[in-house]
Amino acid sequence: MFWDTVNNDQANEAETIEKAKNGDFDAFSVLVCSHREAVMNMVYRMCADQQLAEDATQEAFIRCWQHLSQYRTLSSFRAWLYRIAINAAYDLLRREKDNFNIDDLQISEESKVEQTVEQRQHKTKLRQAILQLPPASRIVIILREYEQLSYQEIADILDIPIGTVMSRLNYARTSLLKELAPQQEAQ
Amino acid sequence: MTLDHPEWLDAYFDQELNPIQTHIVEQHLISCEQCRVYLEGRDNLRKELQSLSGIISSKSNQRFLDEIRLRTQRRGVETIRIPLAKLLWYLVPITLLLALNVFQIYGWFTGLVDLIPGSSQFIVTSLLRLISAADGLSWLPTLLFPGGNLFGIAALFQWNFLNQIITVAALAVLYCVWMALWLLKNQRQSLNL
Repeated sequence: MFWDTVNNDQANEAETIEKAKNGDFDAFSVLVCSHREAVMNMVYRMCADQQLAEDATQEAFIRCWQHLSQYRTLSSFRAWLYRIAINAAYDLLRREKDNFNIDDLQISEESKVEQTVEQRQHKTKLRQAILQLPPASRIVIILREYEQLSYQEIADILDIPIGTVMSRLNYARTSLLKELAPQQEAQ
Repeated sequence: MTLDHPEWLDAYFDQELNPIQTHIVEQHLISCEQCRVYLEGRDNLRKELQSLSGIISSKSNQRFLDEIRLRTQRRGVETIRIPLAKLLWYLVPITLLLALNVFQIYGWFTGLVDLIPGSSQFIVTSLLRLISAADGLSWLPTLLFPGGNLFGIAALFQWNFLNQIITVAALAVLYCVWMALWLLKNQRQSLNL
């Protein structure tokens, strides 16, 4: 039953992509609506800047529309789209490099409902720790932990070997745990 | 397995190992407290990371789509640019394959010529006469046959079976190396513990 639903979803998406490839903007709109939030959140987790995340998402979908004919159905559309979005985000970050400073970022506070001051501080600290990771490790942990992509998909998106995915993931997790260790001990 | 290779514990944690590898790790975990603590730390971190909420866009889907439509119309369709590095992955093996075919055909041709006694000598001398007959090309024989020895074009007719085999083998090795590099770049191998 579950696999039937999954297969139907995949078949529907493949059909929509094919229509979009033939220039059907309405079909493309369906793809945008189903992937927009995930792409935006992935970029936001990379840079912690909502405006930049929105701009990069828009740029990614524009590039996606323009290069859709180059997409091959053998690979996952989501992975292909993420690759475009990551490149778009890096391009925007590079353009704004002079103004970009992690310490200056206004990290949006989590929803204040049912959260103590300590919990909010802890989450802000966690976001800071993610941002302090090297970009190469940061993107790997985001794709794994938030997008639940497999090692192979991450390797495909970033065009790196699986072994590199494993080592970057390990480095990111170890660094985050080290960064958060004093806090966890205090709790 | 020890913590010298913690990536494998991460792979186990992410359920990326095959059933046999998973079984090996699980057997190890029974007796290794250090690795169990390590995995517990990973689990706690995951829970914390999951607790971070995402963002909601300030724009509606319709507005977002309208902006995309407007910007794509303004920008027009970009020309497709294939980077040279990407093109080389295809061009090099194609060139090697073509070279292999050319040498093979050349081998057949020279083999046929050699079947007729004295034919290769006849071709060389004919070429020399043709060149010397043409005005302004008197420098060519010196280039083709420097020092009166058989070099240049003449050397090609000396191309025996062994030379053919060596050339074809060298090209085949080059082709294999190229394919190996390509496979390495686009590796699809499973994780080996």
